[in-house]
Amino acid sequence: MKTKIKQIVLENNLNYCLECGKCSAVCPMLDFYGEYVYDRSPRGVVERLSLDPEDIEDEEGLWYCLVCHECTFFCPSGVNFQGFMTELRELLLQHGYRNHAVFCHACGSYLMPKKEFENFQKILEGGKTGELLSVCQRCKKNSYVETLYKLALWPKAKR
Amino acid sequence: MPLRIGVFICHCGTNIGGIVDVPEVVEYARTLPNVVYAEGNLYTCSEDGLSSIRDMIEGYDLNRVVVASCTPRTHEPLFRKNCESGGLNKYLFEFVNIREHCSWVHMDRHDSATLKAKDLVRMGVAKVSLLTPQEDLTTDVIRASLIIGGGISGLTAALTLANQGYQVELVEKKDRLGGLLRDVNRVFPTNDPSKELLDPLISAVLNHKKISAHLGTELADVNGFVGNFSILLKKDAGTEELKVGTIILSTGARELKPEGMFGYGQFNNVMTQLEFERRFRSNYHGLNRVVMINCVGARVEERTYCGRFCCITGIKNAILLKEENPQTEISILHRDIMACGKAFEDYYRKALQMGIKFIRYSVDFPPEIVGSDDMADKGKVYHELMGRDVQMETDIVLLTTPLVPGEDNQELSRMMRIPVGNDGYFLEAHQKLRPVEFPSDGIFVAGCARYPTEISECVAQGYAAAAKAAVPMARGQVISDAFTSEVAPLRCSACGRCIDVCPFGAIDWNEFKEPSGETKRVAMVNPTECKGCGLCVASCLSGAVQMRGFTDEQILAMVNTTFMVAS
Repeated sequence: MKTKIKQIVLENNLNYCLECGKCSAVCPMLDFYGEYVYDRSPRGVVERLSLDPEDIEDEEGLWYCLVCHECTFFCPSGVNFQGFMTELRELLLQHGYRNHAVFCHACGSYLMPKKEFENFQKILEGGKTGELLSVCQRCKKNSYVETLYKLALWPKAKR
Repeated sequence: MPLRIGVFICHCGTNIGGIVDVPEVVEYARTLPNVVYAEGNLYTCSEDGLSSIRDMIEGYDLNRVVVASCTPRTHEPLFRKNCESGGLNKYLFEFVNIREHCSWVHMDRHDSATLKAKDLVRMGVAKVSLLTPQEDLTTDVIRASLIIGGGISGLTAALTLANQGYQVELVEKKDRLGGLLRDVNRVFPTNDPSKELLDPLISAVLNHKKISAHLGTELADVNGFVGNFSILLKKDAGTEELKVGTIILSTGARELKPEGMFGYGQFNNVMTQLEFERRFRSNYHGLNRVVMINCVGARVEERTYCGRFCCITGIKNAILLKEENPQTEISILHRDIMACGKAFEDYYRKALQMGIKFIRYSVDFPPEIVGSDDMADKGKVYHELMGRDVQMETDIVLLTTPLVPGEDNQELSRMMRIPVGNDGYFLEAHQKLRPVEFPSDGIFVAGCARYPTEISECVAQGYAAAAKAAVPMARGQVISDAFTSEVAPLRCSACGRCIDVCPFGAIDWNEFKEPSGETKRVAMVNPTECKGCGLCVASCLSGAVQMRGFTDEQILAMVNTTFMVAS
């Protein structure tokens, strides 16, 4: 797994980092979570992982990123942080590190980081919209199609 | 012949005319003694103004001209030349600066500025009355050049001059040509072996019939001035004398040996980049983990300058190592990466792409190298952003050190009377506009003798110095300004102060026969070497040294008229 991480690090140009800090400056982390933590910021992650990607398996800090593309857009050097984060989480899940993630209630596929989910629930104060969040896109679509299908099968008189 | 002075006062558009009341100053100038003609011009330096000066010299039979306008720095040569073509000796012209010295500094005080302009014009008229005609000095130039140092800059300069047909005397202290570049393995950013660059150049120099290479030879003494230097060379026990017209200094620099830093001298596998290149030309077997430390001894208190290309040198060796074995783990500990230069940024990005790690360290928390016995095996560096130490195993530690000035610089500086800067490198005449020249004429500088320069710059400066040195040799003679100092031998008390203060070495002892028949030792100025700075005049206790065009008499005449009140 360590070699695999190294490969992802290289593929997504994490080595290109110039330590300018633009990524952390534009990161919506502060707005969303209400606090800035260096270890969770794009720069912090890039610095550490491009140096030595050891013992990161169960680390909570990697599960805050919203994968919003802001940092990647603003990087002057071409670090693809968004791509890196997606691939890294995929890799971690494959290896069974599932503590910090939320999965679809219906089908069980990966949905979003637990922290992000909890924060959304807090903002939305639960309720119907909050419930909708816990189902993945595909399941939502499927249930919608199911409803349509049922409607189509209803006798005409009842419609 | 009675004095007939013409005064031309420039408006310089609104630069002067908008503040100083020029017509009033013109009127005032007409009332001054010996002034037969005065006029105001919109731009005296335009063809209208210049032709007016020429016409008036003829029409009014003027024998002195005063122009009150801008700065002599830019316009004096123009007006002098104009006077000459108008039939007047060009040294009978006086420049009064009423722009920088008056209108620009008194923009909000029109009345006082006009008064001051009048004062300045009056002083100029007082001085011009006392000027005497002078002739420019010409001296013949020997068509041969001495090049000190046979590195890449010296070789380039030698070949360029020789191909132009000038005799070149190339002096090299070591027994081989090539200089510091000989030790370099491959060159950035092309990764060509340095041999490919040097060998054709060296064989071309050695086989050129216009170049005589003096290997294993040192410079013992330099005397003379532009066009006529006499050189004393020292080889083994013997000496040799040469006569040349110009000198190019390309003595280069040497690598800093960081004794006692980061385990250098303590561990066998801690070495500088250049030592590494000397030891490992291509076989990097057994070097699987490499740590480099940049800015060793550079950008610190005792050596404030940046080595300019040490970062790239480190990157080059990292890339070579990585190309040989992609599994090699390389960490470059740096303070900043200075990859400025053509294609260097791309070279840096290439290194990033290859997976070479760049870790920034702070000068307050320098890295540590630890090891056992005589081998270093671990590097430790404080990562500022993460706020903790990072450790890395290593097989070899490379220290990237800057170049330091040559050992002989002070000696050469004394010998040729050329300045050395605070950092120990030779100091050029002007950082921007005269980068390969010295204040003394006929001596030029190229390459690392001036500042750490990478190869392409060394070559460019070699060409530049050769081109500059070719100018006096192509002309065959040098013309120098007549405003130089002279010693009145009868008044000279032979104290030697002027000889000490002269920055150009233009004054020397000479025999003088007094009217009584006795001979005495006096100071004598060589007008070709004199630049007219006036230090000797100020230093002379007996008033024996005078500056042509700025004699005590002329300056006192200006001072005396200063305090006459302008009406």
